[in-house]
Amino acid sequence: MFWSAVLDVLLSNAKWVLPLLVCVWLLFVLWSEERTNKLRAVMFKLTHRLSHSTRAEKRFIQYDIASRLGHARKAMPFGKAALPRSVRVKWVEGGDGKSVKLGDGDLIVRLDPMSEQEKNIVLLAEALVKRMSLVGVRHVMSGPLESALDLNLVRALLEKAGNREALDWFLKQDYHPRSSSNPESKEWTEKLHGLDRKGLFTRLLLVELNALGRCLPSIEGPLYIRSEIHGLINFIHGIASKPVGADVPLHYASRHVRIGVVLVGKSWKVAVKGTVPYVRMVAKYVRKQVGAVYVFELPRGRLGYENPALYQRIQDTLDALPQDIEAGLEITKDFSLSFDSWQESGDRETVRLHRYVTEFSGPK
Amino acid sequence: MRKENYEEIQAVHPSDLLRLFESLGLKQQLLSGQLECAVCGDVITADNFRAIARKQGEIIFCCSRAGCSSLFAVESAEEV
Repeated sequence: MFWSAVLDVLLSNAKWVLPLLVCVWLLFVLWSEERTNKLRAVMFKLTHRLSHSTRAEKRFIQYDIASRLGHARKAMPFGKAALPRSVRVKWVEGGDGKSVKLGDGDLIVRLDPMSEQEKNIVLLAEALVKRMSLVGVRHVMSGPLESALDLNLVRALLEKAGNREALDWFLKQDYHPRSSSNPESKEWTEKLHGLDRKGLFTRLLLVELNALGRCLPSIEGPLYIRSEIHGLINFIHGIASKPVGADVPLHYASRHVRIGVVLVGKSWKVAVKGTVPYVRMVAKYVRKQVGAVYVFELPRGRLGYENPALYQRIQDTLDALPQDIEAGLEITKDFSLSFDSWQESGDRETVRLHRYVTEFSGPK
Repeated sequence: MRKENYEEIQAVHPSDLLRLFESLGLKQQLLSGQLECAVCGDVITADNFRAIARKQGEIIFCCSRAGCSSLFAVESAEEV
């Protein structure tokens, strides 16, 4: 009824339809900086094709990188705080009496022509990750671990950048050669990639490393922190590689990183006992003075097809879980998000995650 | 449109490379093969040049090998 009325109005004002659609589309593009940069990149690419102008080529390279990395950075599930800033290319030219000042700490990189744009995207993605991520914890990490974290973070960023050639080039030229350069690098890279496939790399590990980085000025030296970080990664890896039905530690407590994990898995338990066991488990973690609690709602497999009524009852119970947790406990929800996780069966299924912080989180 | 906060990376296009080195007074050293990669020690040429930085007053260079540019970026980032 509504849409037929809209259609009638549009047909009776046919000459205004196209300008109106163009205006709506322009507003949609201008609303987002990434979309605006993408439009600019397309226009300069076209200009370069027609005129072979180097100026247009440089503008294409600049705006294409800004659009792709800006979009990828925002799409990355880095908790609620994405990589805090993006990168922008500023061209330097020299010659014709123009002076180029290279101050202490300044860096100038040579980018490739637009025919090899995938290399430019990789180079800038690496610069973005190295300058913007893991702030406050880099100096305490061992070289192989830092390299493995960077490699997996760049990989995750490039997977969202929408340029398959850039990802392929990075995997072939950088990721695989560097990750297999020594046994320790290989072990960390594989472990972190395993976490990423389960969705726990950016959503749990990096969130906790960022939290740790914020309180590092007041804590001990590198070796102690290094062992805490290694312990945290092994703890998360234990959960990520847990076979169905097996018990693994769900509570990690070192001096400065204290987290609890609740896995809402067994369907019968949710159906019979409701949210009570999970709220109790969160309460137990709060009593243990953890800084953060992660509640994972695991996928229900084929239950939705086999027993839709039971599936719906379980979903309704799970929808009430966040309110039940917050209602009875001194705890604040930090973020909730859904993500795809690779299961042992080879299928990708959706997992829902809630992160809560307690009064014991933050710098001590 | 909300403006983002950016980290600005200075870049040079291959067609401006010699003019950049000329402005820095390093064109002759580049053409005569006197500049070396700070990571692997290879001779820097107009074809394999990837990055230039100033570290504690000294100008350093990096070639375009994937491993070299990654390590170089870490070092230069520490300076910023």
